[in-house]
Amino acid sequence: MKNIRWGGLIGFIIITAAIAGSFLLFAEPLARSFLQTQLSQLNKAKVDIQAVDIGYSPFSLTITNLQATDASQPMSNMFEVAQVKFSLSLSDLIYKKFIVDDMSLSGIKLNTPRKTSGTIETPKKEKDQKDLLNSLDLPKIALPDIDDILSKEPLTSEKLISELNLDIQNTQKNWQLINQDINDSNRWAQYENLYNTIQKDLKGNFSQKLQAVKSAKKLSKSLKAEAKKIKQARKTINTDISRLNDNFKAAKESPKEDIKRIKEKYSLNNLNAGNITQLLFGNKAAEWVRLAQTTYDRIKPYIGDDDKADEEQQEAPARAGGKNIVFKEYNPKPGFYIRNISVDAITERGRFAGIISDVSSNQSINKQATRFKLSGKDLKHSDMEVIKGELNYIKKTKGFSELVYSITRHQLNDYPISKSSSLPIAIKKSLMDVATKVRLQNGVLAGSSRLNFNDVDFSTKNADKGNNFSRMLANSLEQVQQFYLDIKFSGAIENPKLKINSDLDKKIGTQLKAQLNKRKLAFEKNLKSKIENKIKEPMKKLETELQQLNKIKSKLNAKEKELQTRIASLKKQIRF
Amino acid sequence: MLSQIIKFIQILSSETAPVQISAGIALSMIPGFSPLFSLHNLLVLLVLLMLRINIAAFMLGLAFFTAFAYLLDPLFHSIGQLVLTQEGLQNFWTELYNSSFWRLTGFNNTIVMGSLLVSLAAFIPGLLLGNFLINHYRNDILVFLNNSRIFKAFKSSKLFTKIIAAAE
Repeated sequence: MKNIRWGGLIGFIIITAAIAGSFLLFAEPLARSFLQTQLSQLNKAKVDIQAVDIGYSPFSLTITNLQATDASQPMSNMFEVAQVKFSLSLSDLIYKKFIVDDMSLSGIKLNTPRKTSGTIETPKKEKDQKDLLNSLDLPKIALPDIDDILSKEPLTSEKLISELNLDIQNTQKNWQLINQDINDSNRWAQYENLYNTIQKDLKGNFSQKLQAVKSAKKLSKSLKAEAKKIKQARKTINTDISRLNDNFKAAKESPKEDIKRIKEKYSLNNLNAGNITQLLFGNKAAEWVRLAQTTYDRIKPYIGDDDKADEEQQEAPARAGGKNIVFKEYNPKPGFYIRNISVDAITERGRFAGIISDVSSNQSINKQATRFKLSGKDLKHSDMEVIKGELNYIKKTKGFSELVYSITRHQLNDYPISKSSSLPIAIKKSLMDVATKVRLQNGVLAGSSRLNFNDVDFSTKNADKGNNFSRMLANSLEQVQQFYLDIKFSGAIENPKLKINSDLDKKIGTQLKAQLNKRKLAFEKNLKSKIENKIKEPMKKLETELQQLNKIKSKLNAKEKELQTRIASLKKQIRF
Repeated sequence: MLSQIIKFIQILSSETAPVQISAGIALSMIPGFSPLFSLHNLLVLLVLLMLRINIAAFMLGLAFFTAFAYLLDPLFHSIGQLVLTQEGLQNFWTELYNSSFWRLTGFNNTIVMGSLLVSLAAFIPGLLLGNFLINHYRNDILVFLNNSRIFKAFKSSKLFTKIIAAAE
């Protein structure tokens, strides 16, 4: 017994008690510091805790005034919780497992300002994301200047008129030659003299009569040749007249072709009001999706599909503390598990309360999906608002997240749709119902959202400063009192596709299209009128020239007739 | 550190039983080799305080073995892993793994297990070797030094007085 120091036992007790006492004394600041560090790392921005109180029977923690910075906006808190209270299983804590049966979060406030920046790392510069609401690519439906078009566009009608003019002139020259030949006065005088001689000889003696018959045959032959020439000339003239008339008709019709070509060239046929809903709400919907993406990114670390969270340091190098060998657990539990969280949040819209159940770092262990349901109470602007969902990763390969959101009779006041300088649009007031169901599985989004707007009053300031479309759209929007939006989500969560349908297209589109068509028709009419004016004089000249040609044709016909009469008369006389 | 060494030399030269000194050094191997905040070190502390073990020798040994442990960590890791993954011991380890107390000891850590096994295995040989060396020092080396004129001159020098004063 002489080798035993009983005083040493007292010393041991004192030292142990001192260690335990120090732990108890510093446990709360240590826990506060530990929680702040861990939660900040998880949040990727500062998480501040005012105080942590530890209760030892049962072992519980009360966190007072927890502020989680919004990583994207370091000067504001994503949320603030006045009090987080939960009891912990101490035996599970020894197993390095954070198991909580009931947790209550009270006094939650969203988006509160911070006094100091809550950034813990240089914020990554977001990809050039322009403010979608500030841009509204309105269709450019300004019609081109007709005089400008006519000054630089070669008209087919003008070309045809010019060609026809040349053709008429050439034809006229040909006809004049033919006419001169046919109406050769010397030749016809010779025929006249011969005819008179025949007439005279026929009254003479036998030899004279014989000569007359001979001359008559000669004359008849000549006249037949003349008749044939005239017939040929008439045929040529008819062909020419037919061609010239056809070309004249083509020239007369050519303005239509010109208008058609100009419309195509200046894409006037493609001018339409477009998908109004996509135009108005496309950016807004993209903004909602971006908000959903950000929210998803924030809650992603808490979704229980992470095996690594429960693995102990399997591959840690030896010098950094060795390796913890994991053996089979008789009663396996996830590294982090909260059975029930009761939430009570006060937001600008009212009070939201509900339950989040089975929050787990590894759902495949506890076999329960995380479910949540938050309902609004005493809402300021809505009759009812409910958000519920399920994060089910019990089977990793079939894991999914599902969100159902509904809001009834939500009063929208001065809700901006577009802040575009060309056409700022806002819903001045409206009652909105929303029903959304979205499912995310294997990184692929699928879902739909139905938004009904009633008693709508659109506000379209500065519409007069915008382009024609702005004015037309503003006028049309003023007539809309109710409409719906059907938004379908699909594709990868990082780059989802949105398909928006709405009766707005019908309601606004019909009016817009009518206005647009009216403008297009007026433009066409004006263009036609200007082209016709441009070719009016040349066409008139052509018409006159064609008439001249027709006169020649008439003369030729008369000449042929006269010739036929002469030949008939000659034949009659020769018979004697 | 210098004062520790001088104190240790003083203890070696004192009337303290050799086993108390060698037990201090051998015991210091356990917390020295293994991570300091392991639960079993609390038991070492209790043993250190309750038994007549020289605390100065323990402290010196602790400093020495802690520094030395960094070099031996890969060895401890290998030994720990070998033992913890032994097929025949799996049921035993699993039982311990499912006990809160044993989980607190961190026995499933390769370095904790390896270093504890090495230090326990080296304890008795260390104790015996320490005893032998201390006895040899006192009976042979110290007698020789005390009879040496140079050492006598050194003991009567101012430098020696200063060193002793510094150590105290």
